Amino acid sequence: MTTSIAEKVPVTVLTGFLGSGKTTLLNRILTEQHGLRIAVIENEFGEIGIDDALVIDAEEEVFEMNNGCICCTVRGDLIRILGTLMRRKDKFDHILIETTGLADPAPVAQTFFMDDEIGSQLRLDGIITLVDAAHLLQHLDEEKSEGVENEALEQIAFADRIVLNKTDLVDTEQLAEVRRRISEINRLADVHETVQAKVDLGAVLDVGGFDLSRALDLDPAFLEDTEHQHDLTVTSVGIEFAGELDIERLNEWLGELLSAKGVDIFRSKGILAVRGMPERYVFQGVHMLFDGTQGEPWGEAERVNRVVFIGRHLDRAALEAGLRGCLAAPVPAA
Amino acid sequence: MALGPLIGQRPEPLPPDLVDRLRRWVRTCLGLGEEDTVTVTQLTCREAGCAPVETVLAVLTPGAPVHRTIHRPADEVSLADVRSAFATATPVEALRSAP
Repeated sequence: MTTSIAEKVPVTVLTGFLGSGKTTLLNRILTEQHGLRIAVIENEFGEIGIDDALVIDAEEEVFEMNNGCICCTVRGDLIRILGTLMRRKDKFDHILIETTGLADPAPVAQTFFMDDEIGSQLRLDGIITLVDAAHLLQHLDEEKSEGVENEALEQIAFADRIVLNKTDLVDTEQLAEVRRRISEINRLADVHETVQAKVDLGAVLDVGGFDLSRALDLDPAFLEDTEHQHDLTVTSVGIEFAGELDIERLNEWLGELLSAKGVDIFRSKGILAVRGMPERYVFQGVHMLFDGTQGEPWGEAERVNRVVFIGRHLDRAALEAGLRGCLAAPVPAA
Repeated sequence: MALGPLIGQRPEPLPPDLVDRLRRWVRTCLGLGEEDTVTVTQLTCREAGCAPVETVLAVLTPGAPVHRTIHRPADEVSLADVRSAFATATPVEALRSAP
């Protein structure tokens, strides 16, 4: 028997560049009186117990799995550690995974899609990215050799929530610029400004970033176009239009899109109106993997498709044309 | 109107006893111990020529990972399927000595 969503232990992924304040936030989570028993998986220490928490050392083992239809990367060390924690899960209310400053968040997120034991007992609650307001622009603009990823960029792109830390070290103008650059990359993430990582822990530990019932909480700004474009290799593309989609065309288009661009599409989220389906179809994905389910019935509401893609080298016009091409033929008048 | 799942969509997670059984079979076929990480995943596939639901079994041994796809739902996978899928895989002794 699988565990219901409410009973699954939530897992938070804490990521961020070196010096962004991750350790400060982690120490707060470990020492504040929040009443939660938290297990922390991280790369720095050996296994130690701090009050009700357990800190476990992890060594990043990334495996690529390509089975023809789906290509993804997973973290073998996490599968092993989470498996051990699940055997004692009555002792924990929450699991927190801290990644190194140079880690790619994708293998961590995809691990939750690619192991059914983990998927049946744990739920990925959200990816939290800490950002150093004083140094973010420098990290984003850093020239990388061909084929080398800009980790700061990817960590922002993957985030459900961004803690914009050290805001006391920048002036108003610079802060506005930092916020604008973040928004160019990721339109879905909420941004919380902080000093010394003093963010409400509820905003970090209860995000619901991968919760399909919250997949529709899209900020209306997701559709806005970027006015002052930098070298936008990683961007958000929001698409919205009314009408019903044909399931076969949609499957064909999604198959081609994920096969050709799955590596470049970091995250996707949205709601679709599918002909023959009285309910909204809600989905969210990481690269080529995604979860989808039938949500609330449309009832009398207008059937509107709303989708956001976050990724590298996204072609807005092609994405919109492709999705619009899935519209079902008009129903002939009776 | 019944609608099939979309391409790439992950079906509901498998029941733990089914995951345990498949994992045990993989361990048996490759002579693995409890310390070896074995994952079991059921995926929806809509590519032409592919089965609609497939089961991916993976052994994540550092230096020598191996995974196999069996083109049928997890609850229809037999020990013979697993044995056949991993027939060409490296046995555990070689996995452990791999760089």
